[in-house]
Parts: sequence; structure tokens; C-alpha cells
Amino acid sequence: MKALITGVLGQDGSYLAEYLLAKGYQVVGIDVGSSHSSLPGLEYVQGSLADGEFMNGLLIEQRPDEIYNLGSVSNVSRSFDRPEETFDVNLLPVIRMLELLRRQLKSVKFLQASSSEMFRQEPDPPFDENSLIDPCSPYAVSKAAAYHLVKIYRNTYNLFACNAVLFNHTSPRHSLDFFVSKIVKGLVEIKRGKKEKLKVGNLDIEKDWGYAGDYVKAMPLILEHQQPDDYVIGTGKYLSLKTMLEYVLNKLNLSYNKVVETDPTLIRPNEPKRVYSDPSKIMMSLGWRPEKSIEQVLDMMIEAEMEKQGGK
Amino acid sequence: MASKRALITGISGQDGSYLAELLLSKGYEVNGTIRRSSSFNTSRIDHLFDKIKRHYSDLTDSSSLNRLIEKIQPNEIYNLGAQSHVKISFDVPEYTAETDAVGTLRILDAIRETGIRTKFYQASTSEMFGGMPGTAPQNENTPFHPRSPYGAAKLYAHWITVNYRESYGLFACSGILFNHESPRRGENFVTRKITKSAARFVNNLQDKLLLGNLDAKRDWGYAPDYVEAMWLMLQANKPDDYVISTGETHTVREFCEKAFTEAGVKLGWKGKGIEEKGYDTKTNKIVVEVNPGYFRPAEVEYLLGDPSKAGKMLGWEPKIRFAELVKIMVAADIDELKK
Repeated sequence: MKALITGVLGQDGSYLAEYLLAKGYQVVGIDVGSSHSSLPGLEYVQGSLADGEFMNGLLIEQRPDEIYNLGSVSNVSRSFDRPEETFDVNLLPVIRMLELLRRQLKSVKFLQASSSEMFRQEPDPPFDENSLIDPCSPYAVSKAAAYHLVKIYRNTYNLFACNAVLFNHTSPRHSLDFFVSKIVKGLVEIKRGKKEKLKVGNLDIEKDWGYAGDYVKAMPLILEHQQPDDYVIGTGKYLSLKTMLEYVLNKLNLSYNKVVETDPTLIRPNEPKRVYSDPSKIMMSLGWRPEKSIEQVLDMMIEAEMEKQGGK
Repeated sequence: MASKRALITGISGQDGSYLAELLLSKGYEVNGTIRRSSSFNTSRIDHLFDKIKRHYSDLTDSSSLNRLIEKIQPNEIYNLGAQSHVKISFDVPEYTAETDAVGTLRILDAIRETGIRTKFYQASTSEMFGGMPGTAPQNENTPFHPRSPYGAAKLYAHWITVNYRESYGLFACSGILFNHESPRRGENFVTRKITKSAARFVNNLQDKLLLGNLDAKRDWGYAPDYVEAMWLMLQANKPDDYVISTGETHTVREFCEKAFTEAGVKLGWKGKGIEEKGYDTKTNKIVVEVNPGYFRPAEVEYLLGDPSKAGKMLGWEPKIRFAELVKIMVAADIDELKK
């Protein structure tokens, strides 16, 4: 079995590559970075997902059995500043790959990493595969359109193309652009006396948090099923950013009032207040379950960050 | 008071040309973008050439859009330019996304970057609904299920329009227009193909009309009525999205029957599925045949819009309905043949 993973240097890409290699897959990974961690067995190709010629050439040359499209401009806040780049990376390559599959590589299975950002408050959560899609950022709009294109190509051309609608997931490998990594790094720095304050945006936001290492395990399961379909992947629970922040503060023996500062520029326009999943479909039909709790993930992240910053 | 300035993308299309006429009649300075092309057809606006200002631009060229918006400083922008053919979008999905989806984003960004206070109208489409059984009649709250690359690209444009309104307070409206036709409809669209064929048939110029799915149901209105709704949306107190439709649905088959009746031919039908044929009941001559080549890869079966919000909030309602629409189109095609 040969898999091709886009965005292999990202959090999800790296966990998925490790998982598939351990399952005995041959794995080709692409990303834009020049260097990569030396994951034994991974065939790394440097190139941009947004480069149509490169991608078409690579897919025809490699002829993978499965494509996992995890590459994206994944920062929601930044998508407001770079909406067109977000479109070019998150949507156009999906169209190009699906076109190539339906014209030349019909037997290749395709998994699209979709995002819970497609949903907003109304109607009430939890969100499942039939919930109303109502995206409210350029990132979410690009992901929602890609989600529909996957469905359109599956229905029109009988492609084995699936959406994995991933709710928030994190790990020690999460990019520093994201809230959880930012607070863990910031608070460990404060603990070490490297800085004094942590700036935060709106802490009332409630989200469904899971472990990236668990979520990537759902992806090959989706492609192994007899029928191509779309699945929501989440824990079914939610937690406010404030609760997570307090958990980390507590672990590090820091006081909220002394170190946390609100910065209004970090508040995203128009952010949904509470987003969480109903993952019963994937639990019932594919038997997938999240293994780690968010507290365990936060502990891992704190430990990894302490180690990175040196000393005890 | 100086007259209002409008910028219309896609001014040489059916809707663009009617909208230009409407805005000129209201005293607007009308600017329109024209794509440079060796074979581009401007016949719909030839009669307006000395009244409108034409600018070369392209929805796939951001810097030209920015310059144009700075130069014109429009009060209203109507984004009607698009690759608007559903079946063709299956052949050119990437181009359709570039033009219809990201083209809209580029205009919204140009408005944001130049800081020009202009209202924005986005031409959205009932194809975003995908005609899911059980969702009709479709209104502003009906979930979207696009079934073509065109529907998905237009849905991106709709959502990004809503997003810019909510995030930046732009006066941006999305008009979800159901099918709207006229004598200026492109000849590769089914309604115009039928009326043109009916006109040619009575003049013994055409043998057979080849069609796709005869049972597809559409809510067909009259384009000049619909461009008035676009203008009304931008005159409202606050920006919002509206479904524009007649609230009636008819099959392609009914459209055929009505068109040939207008041309003096009573059609009968025989056979089933792709073998079905429409014939002239007087002469038994075969007039209509089904050609699977015209089937869409994924068919949208049933579209019926509920325009009550536009009625209530904008005071808009369609003046021309199905029977009269077909009559106008056939009469125009017969006239054209006489020329």
C-alpha cells in the first residue's frame, strides 16, 4: 500500500506518516519546507501543493493508492489577511487533484482534511455530518467549498473521495500560531523567568479538543471502509479556552491575575462561541475512539516545552 | 447632485446589459468591464456603446481591479461576471473557480484595500441549492448542496461575500437568483435553444431540436425583472441576502410545448427516457429528440424558489411569469429571423 500525504511536515502530516509507516505502508510526503525531520522510511518531496504542474506530475509518477490531503493554510486569523493565498492552497489544489483522479487515476482513494470551522453557533451544536455549514472566515469558506467539491466528485464520478471533518486537535507538534501551543510556550517562558506576561484574546470560546495522534488514526479507517463517505471526528465534549489556560497555569503554579493580560487585537472577528462534535457516526460504523484526554495532551505539551526550554 | 456611479462586471452578458439599461434610465454613470478576447461578443451592449464607459479588466487580474475601482470610485458595484454555464463547469472546474469564486474575493479585497465606500452586489444562484428533493421551495435559510463545480464556486463567492459583510461591515448583498431568461439569453442555454429552434422550425430552417433532461424542473423568471431586484437590494437600509424567483416551477418539456405553441405548432410526445420524442401533431414530423450528450454529469432535478423575503423587505415581485416569458422569447426569435 502506497500513500501520499500533503503537508507532511505539519502536525497531522507527521503523525499520519509515522502511523502509516508503522502499519507497513510505503509513504511519500510532500511539503514546502526544505528540511525535514528524519523519519525513517519516509520519501520526502519538497514542493508546493499550490503548484498544479508539480502536483500532477508527482501524482502520475508516484501513483499512490491513497492520497491524504492535509496540506493547507491552516491559521484562521491569518486567512483574514491572506484570503487569496488561502484559496490557492486550500481549494484550487483539491479541484486539480480530483480532476486528475477522475480523468486518469480513478482507483486512487482520496481523503480531504475538512475542518469544524465550517460550522458556527446556529443551529445549536453538537455538529454532525448533516449539520448546517455556515463558514465565517476566509479559511472556513475555502474549507467548506473544498468539502462540497469532494462530495460533488464522489457523487458525479463515483470517486472514492471522503471528507474527514476534524474538530480541534493539538499535540506537542502543533504550530505556535495556535492558541494551545502559544499558551503552553508562553507560560513555560514565564515560569523560566524569560518573560512576564501572556497576552490572550477571547477566552470564553468553547471548543472540542482532541489529540492529533488519535485523529490521524481515523483517516486510514475512513479509506478502508467499503463505501466512501464523510465523517465528523471529535471527542463530543467541549472546554473553554479559559479552562485550558487555567489547567496549564495550575500545573505550572502560576497565578492568572499576575501573568495573563487581555489583548483586544487577538480577538478574531466573528468567531463562533461554542463548537463541538457529535462523533457517533465514526464511532459506530468504523469503531474509532479518541484515546487521550485533553488533560493528558496538555501534560505532554507542558513536558515537551519544559524539555525544549531546558532544565527542570 | 452628481449622478451615482456604478461598476458592472460582466456588462456584456444578459443581466449586465439589462442592468446597464436600468441604471442609465435612473441617471447613473455606468461603467463596465470587458474582457480582452479576439472573439468576444458585445452584441448585447452595442446599442449602449456611446452611453456606457467600458474598461478592459478581468476577474482573474487583481491589480487591474484595484486600479479600476480607485479610478472610478463607484457608489455601487455589481459583480455579474462569471463562467455561468453549469455543464461547461464540469469541463473547466479550475477556471470556473478562478473566475467565479476568487474573482469575487478579489473585488471584495479591492474594496477593502482601497477603502472606497461602495455597495457591493454578488450574483449568486439557485444552483447552490442543488435541487435536493424535500427542500423546495428554497429560501434564504435552505441549506446548500451544490452539485456542480459551478455551484460550488458560486457558493464560495456567496459565503465570502457574507463573511466580508460580517467581518468588515461592507454593504454587501448576495442575490440568490433562480433561472432568469430573456431574448438575450446565450444560445447554449436550454430556454433560448428551445425558443430559437421553435422560431427556426416554423420557418423550415431546422429539423430537430436536441435536448437533455426533459423532466428537469426550473423556476424561470424574466431577466429585466431580476436586475431590478439587484438594484433594490443596494437601495435597502441594510445589506442582506435575498432569494429572487417567481415561486412557480415548470419542466423543460412544458417550456418546449409552450414555445412551439407560440410558434403555431402543437407538440405531442411518444416513447420513454432517451427514446422519447416530441412531434408536430399536425404532420407527425419529429421535432424534439433527447440526446444524452446534453445530460449534466449530475442533474439538478427540482428548483423552486420562495421570493417572499424580497417581496416583504424590498417590495419586489416578478412582473413577467412563465407563459409571457416564453411568448416574449419566441416572438423575439421570430423577429430576428425576419431580419
